[in-house]
Amino acid sequence: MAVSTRTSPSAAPGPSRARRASHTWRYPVISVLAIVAFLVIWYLIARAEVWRPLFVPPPSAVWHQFIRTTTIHDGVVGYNGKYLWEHLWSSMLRLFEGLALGILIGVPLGVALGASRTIAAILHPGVTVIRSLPPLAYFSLLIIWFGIGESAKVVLLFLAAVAPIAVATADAVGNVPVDRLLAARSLGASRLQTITEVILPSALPEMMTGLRVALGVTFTTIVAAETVNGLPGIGGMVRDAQRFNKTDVVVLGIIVIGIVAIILDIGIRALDRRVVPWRGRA
Amino acid sequence: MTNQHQHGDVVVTRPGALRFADVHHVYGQGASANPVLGPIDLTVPGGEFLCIVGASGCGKSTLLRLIAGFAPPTQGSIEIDGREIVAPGPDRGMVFQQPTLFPWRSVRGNVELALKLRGYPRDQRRAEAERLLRQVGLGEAMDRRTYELSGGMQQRCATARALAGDPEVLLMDEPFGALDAITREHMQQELHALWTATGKTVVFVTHSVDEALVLGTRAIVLGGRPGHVLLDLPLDLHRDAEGDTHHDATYADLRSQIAHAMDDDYQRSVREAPR
Repeated sequence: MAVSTRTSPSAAPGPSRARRASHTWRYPVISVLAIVAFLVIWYLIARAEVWRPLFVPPPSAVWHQFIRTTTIHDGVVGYNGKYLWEHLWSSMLRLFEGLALGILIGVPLGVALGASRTIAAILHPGVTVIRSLPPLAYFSLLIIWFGIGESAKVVLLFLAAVAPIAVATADAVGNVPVDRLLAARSLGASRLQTITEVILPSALPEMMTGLRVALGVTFTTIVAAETVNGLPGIGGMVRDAQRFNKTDVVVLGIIVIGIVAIILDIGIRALDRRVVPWRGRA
Repeated sequence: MTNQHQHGDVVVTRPGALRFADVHHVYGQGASANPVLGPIDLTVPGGEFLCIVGASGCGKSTLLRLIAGFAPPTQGSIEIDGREIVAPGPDRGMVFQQPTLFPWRSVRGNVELALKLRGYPRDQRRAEAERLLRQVGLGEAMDRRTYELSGGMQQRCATARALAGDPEVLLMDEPFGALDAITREHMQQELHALWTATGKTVVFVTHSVDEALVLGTRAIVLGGRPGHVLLDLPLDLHRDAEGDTHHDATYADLRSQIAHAMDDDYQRSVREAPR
């Protein structure tokens, strides 16, 4: 029954199925071709030794480092005693801790900012300042306060994540369509029910956008944050390799960071489609 | 349609009666005060289908929102079955011009939420939601997402939601205004059938004279500044098998009476418009 209604002619017409299907494969193929072209150009430049391998290591050297950092060689584990994925995992753990704290604090903060003018007047300047400053600007202060251990990094990532989430939530909470609120009121919703059943779900699309921004900001921040005592960590690995002129490890680290960024973005877009399938349609 | 049934000597009044006593409403305060409504004195018996007709800005939506209880009138009082309206209540259900459905819930979920907010017992919500949705003709679409529905189906879902908790009065603010002509006509017939089946009081705001004549048992024309009742007409048009009233002998006359009242009001507003 559900199937018959879903395919009924009254369903909103979209682009024809055939056109949509051709779009779904065409662009990924173009992306892959672009990457292949980049690798070929890189290989040719390195092969011709336009610049010394210290500046532009060949793809084979980077691949070699990829093998070394993921295996035990000459009795040495990975890079600096940790496998590549352990460096990556340390970074991701910091990232998700900062992000989780950012959501935990940012969402209620955003609701408060969006719901109360007084609270907004008190907190908005602070939130704006935090959002405008590059996180590294206050990293030095955090190191003075928290030392060079984990806390400073997690607090930094939290601060980087909390502002975009709070601002997106506040905007969304303040812009819930009036009739939607009146519909809830006419049904007898209490203040708390209005928040949980109407305002928060209404704000979800903007909150997901805020989360996506926050993920981007924390991701760029973590690599920079790990330049200070960042081992184990993918940013720390890059920084350490730079000090010892291991350019191939630096390039490997950059590629890994780039690939993870793409995966995270694909992941959050998939999450977005699952959480707010009505985005742009209601 | 009679609004009172005689049982021997006892007059049984149907629920959902509204009484407006010297109702005025003003937006803003002081120098920027803008009186939009008043005075309104009206008695609406239970079970009536009252159409409020008027041009944009005549105060008809404001009047409906006062009945809904979103704001108290600046002056005067509105009563439902003798109780003064001070806030939204389970005795009134509202359908807005835009369906205002909650897209994060399915069609059934929207009605279930309405029942939850109305304090309906948890274990009976699903069955009651399905009964209401079948009543508005959405029995086959209960699991669908609201944003996948056509405008007419969305408005049916909004109607089912407004009927949650069995209110005595159904308030409708130009619910078919955004629909195409064919869908609108079908929706009007379905609403008439729903009203006949449930016997609820309906207060229906529209700017369409024909819509009022097809649906109403009574039409009032609102106009002037601030808005007040210019014309109050009982309607008792004959309905053919399709539910159509156009062929009734009095249709043209009633139509021109309402149209004239609206036209006079328009001419006056143009003359008196601040320059």
